[in-house]
Amino acid sequence: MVSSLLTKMEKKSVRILLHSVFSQRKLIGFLFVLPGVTFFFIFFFYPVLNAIIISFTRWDLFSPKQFVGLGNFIELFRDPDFGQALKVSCLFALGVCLSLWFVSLFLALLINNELRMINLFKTVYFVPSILSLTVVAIIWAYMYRRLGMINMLLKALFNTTSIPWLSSSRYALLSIVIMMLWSWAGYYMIIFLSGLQAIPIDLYEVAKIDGANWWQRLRKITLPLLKPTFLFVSIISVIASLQAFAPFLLMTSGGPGNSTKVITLKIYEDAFFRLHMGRAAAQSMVLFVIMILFSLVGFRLFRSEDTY
Amino acid sequence: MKRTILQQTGLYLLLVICAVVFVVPVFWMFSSSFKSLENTLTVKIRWFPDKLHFENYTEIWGAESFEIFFSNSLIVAVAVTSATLFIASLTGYGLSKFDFPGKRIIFVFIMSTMMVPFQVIVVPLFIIVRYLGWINTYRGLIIPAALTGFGVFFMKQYIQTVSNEFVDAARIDGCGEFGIFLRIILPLSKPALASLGILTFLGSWNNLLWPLIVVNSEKLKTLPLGLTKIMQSQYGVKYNILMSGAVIASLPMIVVFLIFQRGFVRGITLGGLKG
Repeated sequence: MVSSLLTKMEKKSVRILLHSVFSQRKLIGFLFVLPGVTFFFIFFFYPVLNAIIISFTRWDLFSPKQFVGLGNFIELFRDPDFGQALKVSCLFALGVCLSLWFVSLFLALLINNELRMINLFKTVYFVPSILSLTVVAIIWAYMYRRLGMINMLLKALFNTTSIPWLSSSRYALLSIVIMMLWSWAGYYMIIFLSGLQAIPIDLYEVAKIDGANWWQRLRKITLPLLKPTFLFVSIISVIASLQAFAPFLLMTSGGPGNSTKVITLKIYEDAFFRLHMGRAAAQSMVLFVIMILFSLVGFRLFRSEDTY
Repeated sequence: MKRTILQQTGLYLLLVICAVVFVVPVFWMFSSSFKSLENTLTVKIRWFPDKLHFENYTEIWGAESFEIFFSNSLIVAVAVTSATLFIASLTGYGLSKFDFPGKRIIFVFIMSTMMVPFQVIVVPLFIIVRYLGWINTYRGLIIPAALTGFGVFFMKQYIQTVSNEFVDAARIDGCGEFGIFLRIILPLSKPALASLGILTFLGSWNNLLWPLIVVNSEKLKTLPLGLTKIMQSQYGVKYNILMSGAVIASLPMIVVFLIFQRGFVRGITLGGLKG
């Protein structure tokens, strides 16, 4: 009788103990996460909600917000400047992404050879990636001058007449794409390199025995197996290019004409110079939707690639 | 299959040509930063300065208050990096080693922060910071940048690989939960902390958009802002001065990179795995 009572009490106390320990562990886990979650609520979630709200209003920061419904969005799609900015941003992102495919893959294929001093070359190719775009823009603006280093070099090597790199609407965007390529190629080289190194080496051995040459091995083995890497590089580089800001602000301020007025620059000008907060927020929403759609399509392709 | 001498020479030739393309602009920045003004505007390329004009550096460091911009960049980057490392590992630990209701939602929520471009939140963030009275303060520069979704993801992935046995052993020995975090988890996560630290520091050091928006006082400008100001001022055509400013802004990062190269590369490849 007594013993059974004891065991009953024991059982109960063990259960209480277990229960309290268990829920305590839950609480502790939650406490660890709390600072981070609070941060994201204040500096991410709340601003995102606000951005959505602001995009439906007309607001100059000082007078009260005026609700205009979809007014900002309708205005945007009638505004030729917005269409132009979207076009420039997309052209820029496409140019950067496609040229990175070729250049970074080429660099990765070069670096993937077992040669002496190969790490030195890898380091050298990566150095531009750590410079800030502000610094890169300043260096290249200097080199792109009418009598700058690039024109002098082209004249000395190929005897071309000087090209108005940043001062003509024909070349300005191309100039910035070339500059971004220089700046980012090393970074994407590292990503391609890790893709290359994940390809089983046996495949190449077998292909070699079958007498496939370098070009055939590249086309039949490397490129198909790098498809996920290509998708990944495309998503990351397009998203990063759509967000690029410093080069446009510093090198061209959107000119000549509107030929390099990208959407990020237009958002910045609308918000902080013209104080059209609503329109700026609406444009950032459009930018966001474009990015989301692009990454969704990309990841969908990515996934279907994984399963087959 | 061994490569022939010819093939090897060809490979090295390609490697060197590419290296030249990557090095020349950086070299040009260094070289021009020591030139006299006339020498930056010649019609023939002068690869080297006629003599080292160190006064370019003293002009930008003293007269153009680059010493202030430099220390601001350093203060902000150190603060942002320490905060990110600390909070990201706290959160990453909570998410990887504990079970609690809502954990999955919290994780998805934090991941979603990586999808939203900064341009989307920049206007409301500015308004919040203005409301808090943080315009033109270090707080305004540091606090909104004190954590990233990528940082949490990065630390969570790493801490997940730390064996539970260490944690359990410490718990049996009577170590408190926060003690476990400080004495077990943090020391075991050193490689991840190093990689994330380097990437965060670099991101903060190079950031232009956010400082451009929260700061306009000369006393609080960071290096990218200082460079922007100089480029848009009368110095815009004084390329030697501008280039010495660019050297001041980039040399520390180049040195850090050369020392911690492996951390950089690991950070990128691990970050690359998030796809």
